[in-house]
Order: sequence, then structure tokens, then C-alpha cells
Amino acid sequence: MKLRKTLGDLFAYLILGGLGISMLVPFGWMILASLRDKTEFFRPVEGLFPSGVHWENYLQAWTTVPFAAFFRNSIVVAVAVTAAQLFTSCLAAYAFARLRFRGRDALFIAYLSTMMVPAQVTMIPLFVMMVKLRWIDSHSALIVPFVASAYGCFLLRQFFLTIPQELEDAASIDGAGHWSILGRIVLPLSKPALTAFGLIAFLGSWNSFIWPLIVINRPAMKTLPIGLQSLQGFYGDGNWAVLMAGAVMAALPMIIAFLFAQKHFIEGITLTGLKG
Amino acid sequence: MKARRDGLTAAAFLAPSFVGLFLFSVIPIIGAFTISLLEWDILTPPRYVGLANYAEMWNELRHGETLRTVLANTLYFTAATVPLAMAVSLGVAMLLNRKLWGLAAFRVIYFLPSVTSIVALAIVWRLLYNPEFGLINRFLRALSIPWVSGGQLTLVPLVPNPPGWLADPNWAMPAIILMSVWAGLGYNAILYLAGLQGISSSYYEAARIDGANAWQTFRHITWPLVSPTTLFIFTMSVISGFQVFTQIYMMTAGRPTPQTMVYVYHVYSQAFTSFKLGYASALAFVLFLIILLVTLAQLSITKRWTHYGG
Repeated sequence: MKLRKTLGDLFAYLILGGLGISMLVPFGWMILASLRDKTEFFRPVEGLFPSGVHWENYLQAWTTVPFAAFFRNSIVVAVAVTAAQLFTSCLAAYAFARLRFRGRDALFIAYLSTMMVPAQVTMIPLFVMMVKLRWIDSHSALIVPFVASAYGCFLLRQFFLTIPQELEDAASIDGAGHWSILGRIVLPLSKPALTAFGLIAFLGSWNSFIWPLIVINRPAMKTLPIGLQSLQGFYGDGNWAVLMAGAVMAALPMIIAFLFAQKHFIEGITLTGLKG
Repeated sequence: MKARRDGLTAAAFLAPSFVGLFLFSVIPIIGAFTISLLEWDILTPPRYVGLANYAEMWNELRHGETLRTVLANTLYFTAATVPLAMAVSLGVAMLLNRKLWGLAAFRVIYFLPSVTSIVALAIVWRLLYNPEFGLINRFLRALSIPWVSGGQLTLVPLVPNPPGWLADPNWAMPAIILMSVWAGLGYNAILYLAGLQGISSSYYEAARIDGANAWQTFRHITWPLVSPTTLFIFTMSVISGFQVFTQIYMMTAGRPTPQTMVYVYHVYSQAFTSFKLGYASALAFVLFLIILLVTLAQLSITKRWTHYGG
């Protein structure tokens, strides 16, 4: 029995380790390739490791396309979208979880049903809207259509429902209104759910691709994903080293954030799964 | 009196999200259907054409033109990615569910692609797949077995001519499928792990006392009890399979035409390259119906098929 357990554990380590290596190889290769001399890729025989460390690839990627602007745009947009979604979702979730009003359940189902609408269906009318509003090539086009999240309303409502009502009843007797109950009791107790949803919202906005691709053309207004895409458009297969340096720079901030807050990221994902 | 006060407060609390969802979800849905009835290139005034765009889709389907290829490619991608991704991620999750030292590190490693922009991942995979100097083909060319021929020991390469991957019509789609399974593995495994951790250990103890082997335990305990997660991942994966876009756009742009041309890529290029907004909207609206059907099917199956408990 003991032996079987040990063998089983060994087997688990072997499989997980083997697959784990295949998960890491692309990342390792991205870093190694970003430091190579750009001509090294086209030589017939080439070692696994670069012949020297060519940091200038990073400088070249940074200056070929306006990388600094990409970072600024991505940060502004993701922070604004996350803040707006947290704000609108908290308020709606509180109304759905705690207030009594006519048509509450029907309205909640209407909110949920908007989640079934794929972004690819709304993108054409939204694009037309952006053109009419003259929002093409602006942060507004990347932020305003995403200020509300039905998913956020749903997730936070489910969490608010788990908070014992007695606390709020006590506060209510002391004369606290709904605004102060939400601000002083419900929100402080909901930090795990707020963090999880905030991270998911941020990640979604940070990595979003097709929408910025449609509404942003000016290089200085691009976010990281479509900025990186323009770097690939610039070099094609011509300069892999600089392309990889760009990919590393675009990927690194989120990877570092994940390594520091991995517990929250994984909690967020697990919460997503509760939808089923 | 109380109910009325709640009503006003509720209106204030709901207004921000309601306005956002109404303007940017509900109106666009109506808009998508309306535009699908038009012939419109956004520059010149639209022309009402009734259901002509849907009729055009139907004709393309019947006569085996672009749309049929696009649908076939999308089904190919989805039918290959979903079962593969689910099997591998369930396997990984079961291994991660053993209480072993150092497993948290594996969880982090598997999850890395899920936080990384798929644009960056697609660029790296393009390099890995490069036919001449990509890591994958260099590895395949180096694979060899020792062989004695004519009294001499030589190394015979196992794969002397590895495929051209993204450049090869037969291998482009499998290459994208492999990359997509790799990229989604961690996300699905984390969901499965949460499902597995919800299964009470008393079931496994009972199975052990009854002398069940590993397969029987899996078949009669793990699989049925993890079925809500399975159904959830299945539905989500089918939906996102139909929506695949970014890795195709970045890695092949539909080439070798039309081997990797998928549905959303078709919608995108019809709308924003050919500026046939009406036809593209009709395509998008049909995608919406497909996704709606998949979701409704999931809801009805959930009620009958899954075992809740544990």
C-alpha cells in the first residue's frame, strides 16, 4: 500500500514535471530569443543559448513603436474599466441582494441574459456608435462601452447574499441608511470577492484584443496587445529578436503581478467557475 | 411606505449599471439585427435589403463557398480543442489534487499562459513553429535512434522532414489547436481542481474499503461528482471555440487560405476589411443564435445529467 502510494506520487511528479517543462519552454525561449543577435536566427546551426547578451533589442523594440505610450494607454484603460465596473457592479449587486422593489427578479434575469451576448455580435453596432460619436482613436472608445458588467453584478450579488443580514439590521436600527450600510458593512466584508472580480476585470481589459484593433488606428493611442501586433506587422519574420523583446515587455507586467498575487488570481478564476 | 423608499433607492443604485448595459449591450443587439437587414459600407447611406444577407449566407452554405469552409474549420478547431483540453486538464487537476509537496509551484506554472496576453504567446509560438529554425522542428530533426548498418553504428533520424506547421495547409490548424490547448490548460485545470476539491473524501474512503481499483474509483466517484464542472468547462470551451480569433489573426491571418479561416475571423474581415457591415452583422447574429442554443442546451442538460452532492 505504502509502495503504491510512493509510486503514484512519483508518477504524478513525472507527468506534472514533464508537462510543466512544456509550459515553461515557450516563456524561456521568448527570453532567450529576445537577447540574441538578430542574424543568429538565420544561421543554419545555432546553439540553444545566445552567443552574447544583446540588450539593444529591447531598446530597438521600445523605439520602433511607441511602447511607452502603449503602456500608458493600457494602464489608463484597464484602471478606468476596473474602477467603473467595480463601482457600477457594487451598487447593482447591493440593490439585487438587499433592496425590495417590484420586478427585481425579472430585472436580475435580464441582467444575466446580457452575459450570453458574445462581444463579436455587438462589435459592429458599437463600432458604428463610436464612429458617430467621433470616439475612434480615443480612450473613451476603450472605456465607456465597458463601464458596466453583468457578470460583476451577478458575482457580487451572490457574495453579498452570504453576508449575515443581522449586522445590517443592527446598523439599520441605529439609523444607518443603505449607502452607509453598503459602504461601512457590506463592502469591507466583501474584500475577497471585490479583489477577485477586480483582478478578472483588469486582466480582461488589459489583454483585450479585437475591440482595440477595431477602434484604434493611431499608434500613440494603441494598447499593449495591439501595439505588439503592430510591431509584428512592422518586422514580420525579419527581426525575431526585437519581436521577442517586445513580447517580453508586453507580457512581463502581468506575469510579475500574477507571481505576487497568484492566490487572488486563482481565487478569481475559481469564482468564475462557480457560475456552473 | 418602506417599499416605496426601497424602490427609489434601488433606482439610484441600479441606474449606472443599467444605463451601461442598456446602451452598450441591449441597443447593440437590436443594432446588430437591424444592420443585418441592410447593405451598408458605413461611408454611403445604407440600403434596406430585408433578409438578403441571410439568404446569401444560406446560398454560400448550399454551394460550398467560403462560409462552408469557414464553418467546417471552426467546427474542426472546436471539436479537436475541447475534448483534448478537457482530458488533459482533468488529468492535470487530478494529479494536482494529490497532496504533494511543491504542487503550488506547478499550479503557478500551468497558469502562466492564462495571465499572458495571447498576442505575446502567439508571437512566441510562431517562432517555435518556424519550419527551418523553430525550436519544435529542431527538436524533431534531432530525434534519432542508433542503428547498425554495414557494420557501422549510425544515428538514423526519426523525423528527417518535420512538417512546415503554420505554412503547411494540413498542419496549420493542428498547430493552432496545440497552441490553444497549451494556452488554456491552466485555466481549465484550476476549474477542475476546484471541482475535485469539492468532493468529500468519505466517498474515496468507502471505495477503498470496498476494494475499488483506480479506474473504478474514477468511473464511479470522480467522474460523476465532477460532472457539474465538466459541463461548465465544456459549454464555456465550445462557446470560446466558436469565438476563436486572436491566435488565428496573429499566427496565420487565415492562411494558408482558407485552411485556418474561422468564423469570427470571417466576421471581422467582412466587416472591417471588405466593409460589408450588413453581411457581417448577419454572420454575427447567427453566431449569437448558435451560442444561445449551446447555452440553453447546457442549462437543460445540467438539470438532468449532473449529480450534485459531495
